[in-house]
Amino acid sequence: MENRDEIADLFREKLSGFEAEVRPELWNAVSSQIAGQTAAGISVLTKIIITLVTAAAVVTGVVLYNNSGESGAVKNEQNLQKSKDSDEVVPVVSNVNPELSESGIPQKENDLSKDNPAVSTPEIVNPLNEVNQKAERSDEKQQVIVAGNTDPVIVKDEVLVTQETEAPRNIIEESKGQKVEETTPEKRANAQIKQLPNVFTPNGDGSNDRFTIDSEGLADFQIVILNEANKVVYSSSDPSFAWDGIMMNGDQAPAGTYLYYITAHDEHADAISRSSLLKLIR
Amino acid sequence: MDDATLIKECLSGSVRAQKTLFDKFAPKMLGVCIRYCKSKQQAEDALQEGFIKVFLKLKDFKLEGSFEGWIRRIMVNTALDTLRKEMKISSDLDAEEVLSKKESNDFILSRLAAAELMALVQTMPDGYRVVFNMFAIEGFSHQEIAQNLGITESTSKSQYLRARAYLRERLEKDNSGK
Repeated sequence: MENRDEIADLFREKLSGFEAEVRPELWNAVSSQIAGQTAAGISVLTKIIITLVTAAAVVTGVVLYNNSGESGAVKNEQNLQKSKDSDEVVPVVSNVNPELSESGIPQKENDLSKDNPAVSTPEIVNPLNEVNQKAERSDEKQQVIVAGNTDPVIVKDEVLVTQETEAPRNIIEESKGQKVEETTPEKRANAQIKQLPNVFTPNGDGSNDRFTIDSEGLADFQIVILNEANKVVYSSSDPSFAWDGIMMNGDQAPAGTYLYYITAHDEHADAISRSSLLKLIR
Repeated sequence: MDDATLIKECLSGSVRAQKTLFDKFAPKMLGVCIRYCKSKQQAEDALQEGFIKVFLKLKDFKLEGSFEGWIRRIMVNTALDTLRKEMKISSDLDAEEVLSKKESNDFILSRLAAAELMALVQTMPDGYRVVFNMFAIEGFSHQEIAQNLGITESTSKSQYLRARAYLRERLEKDNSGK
């Protein structure tokens, strides 16, 4: 049993620490979702406080009017005032409901947000029957919002756009021959992969026709490029390789999204492992 | 900044700390997700969803264990969630049958680059890939894998052994070709 599983040992050793290039868009997506959670929590709380304060004010007002009514003022006017005041309360309280439904979505989708103050909202809603009806109506709204909440998909479109817009920047940086800190923000030794291109246009127009990696001082370099079906279309162990878009079987690689892995060692024999998407446009 | 401080600051609502935490672990965790998922897009979705879970459950994390290990578990589970629906693991194979196959040791595994291995893992069929990842790399037991994937323990074992045989065969082929 001990010696036998060298395959497991090998893969564990080499792959458990494998790092992949994380696009900044991913953090934006995560960040906006967590921010939404926190903001919803705070604003519901705020609304509850506002509601309580308003309710207290109304009650005080009503009591005052009643008192003054007993001292001989016109009662009809008071009743009008009273009903106006209580009408005003309703919209304020019902404002809480959209918030409630928003914070209710994650519970439905991935039951994560148990900490949302959804529980405390019904307590305020209950005293007013009218509002209960509104709360039911807002359930319908929930579904609409749920549909709207799948927005992160849209992020993908943005991604494609950014990938394209990044290309010119890369080219500019290359021509200036300066250090590219943005694409490799980690502390690196002298040996480094300077940037990971993500667009490649092997259409023979003389611009970006070959896919190369700008690197320095790497040992044991290896790159493997996979197509969308996870088939290896190209691999090389030469750091100064240049892929012309011809697959290993001799065919032209079609336009589409490819994925590449790079591994190497720096001069301290520390492993460098990176990967990135590569968009091939013809 | 150590993990404990970072967690504390994240819990106090510091967006900067949240970003630091994300930047610290995301590249490695994306590596984990890629190993489980079919495509990098799917892996990115899992990473995104996984990190949202990490932040929402952060207050439940006990500072005793490994923080990275905790995050990794969440990532693996999230990746499995996305895979579970479409993943089919056949249980037609008997573990013993594969076990008895003879294996040769006459090639040098350690010279293979991680990129090649990663690509190789990626080319495996779903069932192999997930079980292999869980058992060989993440170190789950077959019992845990069985529970997690809703398969029997012996299916998990046979899938693993098949996956290993598949990888070995590929590795030997590559090796002899050079």
